[in-house]
Amino acid sequence: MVVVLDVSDEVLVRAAQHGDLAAFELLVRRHQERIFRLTLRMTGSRADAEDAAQESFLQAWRSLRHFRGDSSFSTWMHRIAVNRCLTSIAARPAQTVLPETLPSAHGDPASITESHGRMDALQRGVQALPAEARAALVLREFQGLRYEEIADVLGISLPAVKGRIHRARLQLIEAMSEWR
Amino acid sequence: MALDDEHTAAPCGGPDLRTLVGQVFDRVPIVDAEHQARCPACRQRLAAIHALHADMQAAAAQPLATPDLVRRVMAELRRPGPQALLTTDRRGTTKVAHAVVAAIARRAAMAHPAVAFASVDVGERATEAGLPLSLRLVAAYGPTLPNLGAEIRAQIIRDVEALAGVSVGDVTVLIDDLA
Repeated sequence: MVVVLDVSDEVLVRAAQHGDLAAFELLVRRHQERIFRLTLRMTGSRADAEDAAQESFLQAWRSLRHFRGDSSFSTWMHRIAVNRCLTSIAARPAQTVLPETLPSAHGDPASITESHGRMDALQRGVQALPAEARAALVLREFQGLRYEEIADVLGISLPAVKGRIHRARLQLIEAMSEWR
Repeated sequence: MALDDEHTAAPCGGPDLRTLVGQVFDRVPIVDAEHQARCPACRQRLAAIHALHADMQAAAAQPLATPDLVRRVMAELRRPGPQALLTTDRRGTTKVAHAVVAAIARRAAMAHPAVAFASVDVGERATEAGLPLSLRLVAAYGPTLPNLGAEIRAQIIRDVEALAGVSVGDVTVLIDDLA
């Protein structure tokens, strides 16, 4: 079996659009970590994040015929995943969902405790953001997208993106300053 | 830290909050470095902004333990979907996926001049009468809707039974929008 490296997403997408499951599998393998990172930061729950990520890829397969390549496959996947997370979050019962502790880096016990605390506080702050603002912030700070790409993913204007992210950052500064 | 209005200059005459955040997060060039270095108010605000930036970078760098989504997604995609049995004899079996039945029904509906858009769902299980279908339509304004529903129902039954050889049971038509 020949393993072909460096096949572009575009080539894989075109093959998948013709029904090539192996090509789609490669796409999932390539994008699963980034999409999971997005759904985890959006939903704050590992279980919800796994479901949302899995459903996003399934939806991508079903919607492939509508993907015209106007944006990159990655941007398109981000759009699907964000919308799925927003739906999942909106469907939650109106009670506070405590975010699970995310894995943290190694270090000595005292600094682990402190960094656990700060990371938990940050996670709680992110979860406290309204879902639309959270999406913009997560796309910028955790997914590393450019502002223009975020506008594309969310379907809003560039100034609206910058406004949302800026307000989200201010809210987080407030939340973190209360923790310190 | 009290958050002043992000667009007004700070009481010290220094840059507004939006500018300071832009400096740290977007690396916007600093215009008045001297003032910011000397002014306690600006330094305090900058410290809080820098702290958040550092926290976000630390959080973004955390290892993830990604689950094996590939296995789950591909298992789901490779699972054969619901199918209708068409013929079977000692030489083999012909089945048609429900998705194909749905596609035939959709095209039959969309071939009608008064239908702008149609989507079809196939029921999971065939009844004695056949496979149940449900349709959602966007219709053009004008035709009498009950007549439209009946016409489309008849066309779908004709096409599915002729092309796919599958008996059609109840056909539920929902006209849920006008074009």
